[in-house]
Amino acid sequence: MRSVSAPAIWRAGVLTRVREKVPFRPPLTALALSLAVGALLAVGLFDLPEVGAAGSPALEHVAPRYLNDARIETGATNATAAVVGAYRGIDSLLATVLVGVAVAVGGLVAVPVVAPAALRSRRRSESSVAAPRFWHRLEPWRDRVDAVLAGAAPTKLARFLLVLAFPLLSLLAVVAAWSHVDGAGGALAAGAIAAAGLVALATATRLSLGGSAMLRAVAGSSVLFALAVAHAPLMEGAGLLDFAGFGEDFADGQRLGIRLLTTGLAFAIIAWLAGHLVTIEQKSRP
Amino acid sequence: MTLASVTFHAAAAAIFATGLFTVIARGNLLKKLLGLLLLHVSVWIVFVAMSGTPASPDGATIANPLPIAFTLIAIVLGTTAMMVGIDLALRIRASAVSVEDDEIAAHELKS
Amino acid sequence: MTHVPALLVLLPFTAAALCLLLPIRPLVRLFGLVAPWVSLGVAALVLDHVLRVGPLAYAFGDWAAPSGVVFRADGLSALALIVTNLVAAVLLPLLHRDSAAHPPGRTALQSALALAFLGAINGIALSHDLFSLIILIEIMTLATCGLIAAGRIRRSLVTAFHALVFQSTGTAFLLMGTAMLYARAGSVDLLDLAGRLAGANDRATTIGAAMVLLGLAIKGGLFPFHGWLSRTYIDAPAPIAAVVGGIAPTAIAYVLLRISTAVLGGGPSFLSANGAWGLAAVAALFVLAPSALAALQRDIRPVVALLAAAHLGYVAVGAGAINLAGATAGMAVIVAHGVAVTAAVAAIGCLQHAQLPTALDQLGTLRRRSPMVAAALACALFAFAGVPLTVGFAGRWHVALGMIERDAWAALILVALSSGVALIAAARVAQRLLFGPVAPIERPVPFPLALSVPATLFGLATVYFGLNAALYVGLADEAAKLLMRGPP
Repeated sequence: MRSVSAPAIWRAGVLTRVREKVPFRPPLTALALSLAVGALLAVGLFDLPEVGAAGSPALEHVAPRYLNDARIETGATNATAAVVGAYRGIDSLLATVLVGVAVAVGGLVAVPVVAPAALRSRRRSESSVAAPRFWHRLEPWRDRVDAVLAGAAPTKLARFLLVLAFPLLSLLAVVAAWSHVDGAGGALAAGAIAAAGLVALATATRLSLGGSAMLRAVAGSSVLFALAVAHAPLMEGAGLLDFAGFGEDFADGQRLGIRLLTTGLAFAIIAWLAGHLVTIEQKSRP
Repeated sequence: MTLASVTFHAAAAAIFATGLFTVIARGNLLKKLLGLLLLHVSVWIVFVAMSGTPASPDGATIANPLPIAFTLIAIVLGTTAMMVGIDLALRIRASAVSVEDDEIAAHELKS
Repeated sequence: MTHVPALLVLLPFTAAALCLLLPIRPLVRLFGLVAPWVSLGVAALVLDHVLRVGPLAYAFGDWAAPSGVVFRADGLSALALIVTNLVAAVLLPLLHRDSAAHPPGRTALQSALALAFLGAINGIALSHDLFSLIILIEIMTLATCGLIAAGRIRRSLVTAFHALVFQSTGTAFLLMGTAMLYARAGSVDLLDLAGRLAGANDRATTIGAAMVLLGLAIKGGLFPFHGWLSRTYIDAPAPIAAVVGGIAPTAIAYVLLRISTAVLGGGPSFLSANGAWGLAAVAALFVLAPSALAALQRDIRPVVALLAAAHLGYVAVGAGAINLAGATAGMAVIVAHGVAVTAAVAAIGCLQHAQLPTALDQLGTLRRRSPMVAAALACALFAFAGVPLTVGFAGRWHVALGMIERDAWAALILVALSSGVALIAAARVAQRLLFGPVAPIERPVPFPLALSVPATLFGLATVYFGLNAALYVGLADEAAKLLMRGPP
């Protein structure tokens, strides 16, 4: 029995056939409907102000405050970080809660392990409708990729490199999360980097993280942490998400608050993505 | 109309239409989810296009932070929906015969 | 009272995170039973405050309106808050009765989703920022999909998947429309948008507004988009179908009413000027078509789904009138919807759970099994049809007033016609319930309390609120006045 870990999206890919069983005939109503919506949308979008045009409403009304005053008002050197963390901090908080809800749903419908070899043989035996020749030519490649990702165990060197990659990527993720104030989207980037590290580790050690209760706990505590950060200013008599009292001066406190809030979001995303790492058990082929 | 505007907005409209068609017409659950992702990607493109600012004389331009912030949150919205969909599809696959819509319906009738 | 609008949203979320983190049965049970009732109590306090003192606003992080995000409780918000919380307080604690047999981990996850759902509906009623509103709606969506999937039967999994795809498509429309409105107005605060979009009648605003309203129509399950909702009635575990069908569309209908009247009402002309014929089209599509289809069905479940969709359509018609009577009508319909849908869906749940036939011709069996539930179902359907002495009448009456005020005679005729058709559909069901043949039951399955209690309770409420319409119509009228007057 060999096994390998892969993100759930890959498992989903294993389940999708290039050729569908029933020949696909585009329903005309769906085609007409989507074309109509697309055309309508194009009419509306072309009527919007030009991209990057001076004097467009998107740049005039609230944006100048974000562009000019964010550094003084929030202490963040990056305007986007100021918007995500301070001015519209509740959006980040709600997004963290949303990730928490996704984790809970994932926990409710956790998937048992399915052997892809069995699936593949089922796929072969199914009577498929003749597909265009192009896809036929791709099929052997598909099987080869299947074999590499789902069957062949990594070599010793590869495993060593993968194990090495984990601490490096984790470190990088922490740096990305904490430098969020100076780089937009740091929380999301950190989530993606850390998840890549976990993929590496899981591939090397055949760790199954799919639907793991531990990761659910990590995600839950990240959400709780973000909520606690939001509520903390109440202790000092300030409003929710009003981080001014966190530091020695106004900007200092805001900066710390932004970092803590986005770190909560980052860790929720990391745990959630990592929860989609599942081990695929591969029966050795006859 | 500048080239950037035409490109961004035409691409967004085309991707939205493609996504809508995929969601409505395709039977495969995972292809439906990919269509859903296309719908959301189209929104992200519109937001990113909106964040453009006029080039300043010294060459340093800062993007409008609000649409960028909207994009980041919209990415979370789109990906959570899609990943939950994948969770559900895998679960359905584990307990069903197929990920094809009509096959599931057919199986339903038999059982 | 200062922090209440924010805490009403964030405390249920905190409780949900605690359930996710500490799946201990007593804790989970405590939260599950207490949180909805506490939330209802606080919602009542908010309503009281709004009526006595005035609207309540909360700026997160002390960043004022257009730059920051503001939650506001005005009359309409408070009314929506009270209706959704009233239904949630009855239904959510009952979810636990069913889950006693589950392992504690799963009960905790289900509880976490129910609490997140509670926080999301409170947030939807309070948020005055279009983008936060969308995130909250998405939290509600994912929570409902998770709850539907919690049944773990394959059919409910497939239903959850379809609900997710449908609703997320709606979210994409909503986001796209928001992007276009933002590009025109420069902010997403609802009051600010209303001011900056007033008189705007260009293509981008019009299409952006249409995308937003279309997205809401998809998510609320208005007529052509009601498919996922009626699948939910049939395939989801019955108590959850009541939660999803009774609360979620009511919350979305509130958003639809607020955005089309108070935000876009002064803007794109397809909403305000030359509206008489547009209104007739809205009435024909959202109200007449589903009512007519409902009169043709042979099974009780599609009848309820179609009549509920038609009833929700009156929110769109009332909002489309853009006058005081129309807004009042919208609110009265929202109140009626919360009450009547819950009764109807819970009654259907009883039928499904006891494996009684759902074909119209065999409905007489329900009369024998439980006269109370049968009566509740009939009352709910009559409420959908807008019969006097039920909760549905006040809404219908004000819709008519709104039409007359707008001189929209074609729409008025269509509304009257569809009320008549809906009455035929409801009467068909009632006739079968009262006089239909009773099939012998070999081994009767008792109705679960989690369904028969809400069915009876809300069935009685349809009549009680119908007889005492002054209880909420006065409120709706006050709220509508506040809404139409615009920002202070």
